[in-house]
Amino acid sequence: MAGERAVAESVFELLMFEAFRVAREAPGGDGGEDGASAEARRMEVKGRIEAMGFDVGYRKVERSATEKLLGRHPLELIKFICKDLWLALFQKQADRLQTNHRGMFVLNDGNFTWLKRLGHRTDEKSVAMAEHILDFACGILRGALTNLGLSTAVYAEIKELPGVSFTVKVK
Amino acid sequence: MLRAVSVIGPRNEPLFFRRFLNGEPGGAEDAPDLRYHFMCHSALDVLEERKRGNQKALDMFQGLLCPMEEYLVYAYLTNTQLKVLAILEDAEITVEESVLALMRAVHTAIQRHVMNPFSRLGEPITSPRFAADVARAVATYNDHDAEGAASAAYVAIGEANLNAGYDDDTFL
Repeated sequence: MAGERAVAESVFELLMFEAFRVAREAPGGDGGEDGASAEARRMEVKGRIEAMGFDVGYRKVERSATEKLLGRHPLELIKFICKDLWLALFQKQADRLQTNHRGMFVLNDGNFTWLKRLGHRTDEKSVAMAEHILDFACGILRGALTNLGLSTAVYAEIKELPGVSFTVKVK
Repeated sequence: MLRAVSVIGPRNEPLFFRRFLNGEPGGAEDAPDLRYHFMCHSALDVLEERKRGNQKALDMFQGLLCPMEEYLVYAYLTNTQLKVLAILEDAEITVEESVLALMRAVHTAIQRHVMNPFSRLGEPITSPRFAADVARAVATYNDHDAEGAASAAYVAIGEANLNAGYDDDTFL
C-alpha cells in the first residue's frame, strides 16, 4: 500500500532481543547470589518486559481498531484480538479460541511467529528467551485489551514448540 | 462554520479542546470557551443515553447529537472509548460527509499521536503536531463548507428563477 512503511522482520527481532537484554541487565535492586534475590530479580525483569509490552499493545490497538465500531461484549473484543491484532503483529491469525463464557478465554496459536527462531532448543538461554518473548506478548495483549476497555490478567504457556496458549481472565 | 473541536477520553476527561474563530484557532476570552465546554458536557450526556439505548448503532460516526441554541454538535466514537466532538454553527445546509471527513482526520491525528512512543498516555494532548493536524482538518472543512454553501446558494437562485418563469441564464 502506498505510504505504508515496512521494516524487515529480522530487524524487528534483533531490536526485540536487544530490548530484553537491556531489561535483564539494567541495574535494579541488589542482585545477590542466593535463590531469593535471584527470584526477585527475575520477577523484576519479567515486570519490565511485560510493562513494555503493555505500552506497545495499548498504542498499537489505537491504530488497529479503526475499521468499524466493535461491540462492547468481551467475546467480540477478544475475537478482534485473535484476528486483526494477531494479523498485524504476527502476520497470521490465532488458530483457536476457547471460552467458558464466564470471563475466561484461551487463545491458541500452534505456530507462534516469535518463537520460530528458537526451534526446539531446550538450553537455559533459549528457555529464558522464550519466557521473555511470552511475557512481552502477554503485555501486548493486556495493553490492547485495556485500551479497548477490558481489564484482564494474561498469561501464556508453551504447549509444544512452537505452539503457545494464552489465557485471558477478564477481571 | 466550525467553531470548536474537542477530544474526550474514556472517563469523560478532556484531552484536547480548540476554539476556531473564522478558521483560525481562537482567542483568549474565557466566557465563550465556557459555553462550548458546557455544550460538550451536554453532548456527552446525549451520547451516554444513546449508548444505553441502542447497542446496535455500530458506526463510529454518531452524526448529529443535538442542536444547542444556535449550534450543532456532532460526535464520533472510537473503539478505545475516545470521543471527538465538533461544534458547528447552525447553517441552512450542513454537509454531513464533510463533518465525517473532519472527524476521520482528527481520528487519524489521534492515532498518530498515540503511536508516538514518547506521547504520554491518558494525559491531555499538548503535541504541537497534533494541534497542527487538527487545524489543517478544520481549514479543509471550512473550505468545503464555504464551497458547499456557495454552490448550494447558486442552485437555490437558479431554481427560484426557473420557478418564477425565467430561464436559468437570467441573473437575479
